[in-house]
Amino acid sequence: MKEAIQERISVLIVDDEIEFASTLAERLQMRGYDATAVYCAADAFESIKKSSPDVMLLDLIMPETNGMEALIKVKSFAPEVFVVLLTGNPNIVKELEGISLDNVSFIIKPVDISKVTAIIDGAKREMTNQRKWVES
Amino acid sequence: MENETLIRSNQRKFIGKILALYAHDLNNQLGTIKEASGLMEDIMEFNKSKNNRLREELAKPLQSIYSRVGEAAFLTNTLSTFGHEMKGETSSLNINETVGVLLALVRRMAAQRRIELVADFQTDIPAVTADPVMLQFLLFCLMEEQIIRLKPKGRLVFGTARSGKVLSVMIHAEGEEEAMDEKRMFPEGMAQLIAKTYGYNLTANGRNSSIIFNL
Repeated sequence: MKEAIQERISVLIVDDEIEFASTLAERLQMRGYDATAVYCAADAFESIKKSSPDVMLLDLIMPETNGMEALIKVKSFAPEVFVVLLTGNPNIVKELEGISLDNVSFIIKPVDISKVTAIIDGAKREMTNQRKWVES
Repeated sequence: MENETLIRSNQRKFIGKILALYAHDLNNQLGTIKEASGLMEDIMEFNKSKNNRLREELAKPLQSIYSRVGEAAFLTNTLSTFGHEMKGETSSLNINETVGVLLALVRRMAAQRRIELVADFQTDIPAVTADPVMLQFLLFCLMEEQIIRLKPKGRLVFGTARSGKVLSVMIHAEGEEEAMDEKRMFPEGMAQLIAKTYGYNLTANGRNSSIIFNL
């Protein structure tokens, strides 16, 4: 039981679409993830400073601070967080595919819960492997 | 005239921006519908023993929601691509994707006349430099010429092919024809005018049209 708790993956969802973000958080919680939702970049920064999540699902287009600006800022103080960019624009994905970003992935909205969990699990595995490699 | 050209070009960017914003908004609505229905399914799934009958009864409508959301997401993503293309001008593009976007967006128009649109694309074709929206406009004009001629149950085949240093985009009409009694959206000869003005190598005779790109 203790092991299961230790392995629980923490996920922070950042999206100004409140219903979308809170529902996705609830569905991830049902699947055993430690998921929380916040609805703007400023709240995401606060949350990460308090407790760094394993994975952050970050909407690209938000008012005030957009997803790309938020990504750069988060990577400056918490580079260990794996960021999954959420976008409804397939063209942005094409542009992002051309840029090499460490520990960053993307997913097109509307999302499939099975795809989201696969990306989160893959991200966690990758981060664990990287940590082991650094420690060895 | 210079001012008018400048205004026209920016008006196109404006329309592109509106389309992209609209598509983005729709996508957000779809995302929430999908998550909310997914949550309904989860609630039943995680309480299997209590709600087995309800789960069975709701399985079909939930599948219908997922299927329609998927279709609608495809359309909004295509509209978003089109909107973003409208904001730019000439660029390096994959002809198959450009024609595919047009086919997705006009399928309703073809369906209303019961004309089937068929994509017959050669894969692995090289990129060409063109204005995607102008090319789509040209293809749309050629398509309209054929659609108003064809009787229901006809087919319009959109093909792409590479032969040596030439890449072709072709439209071929199949099926019976009828008298053109329908008002055109664009004046006759618009396709030829676009081709002449923007330097497209267009051949159009009867049921076959092709646009040639030299690689």
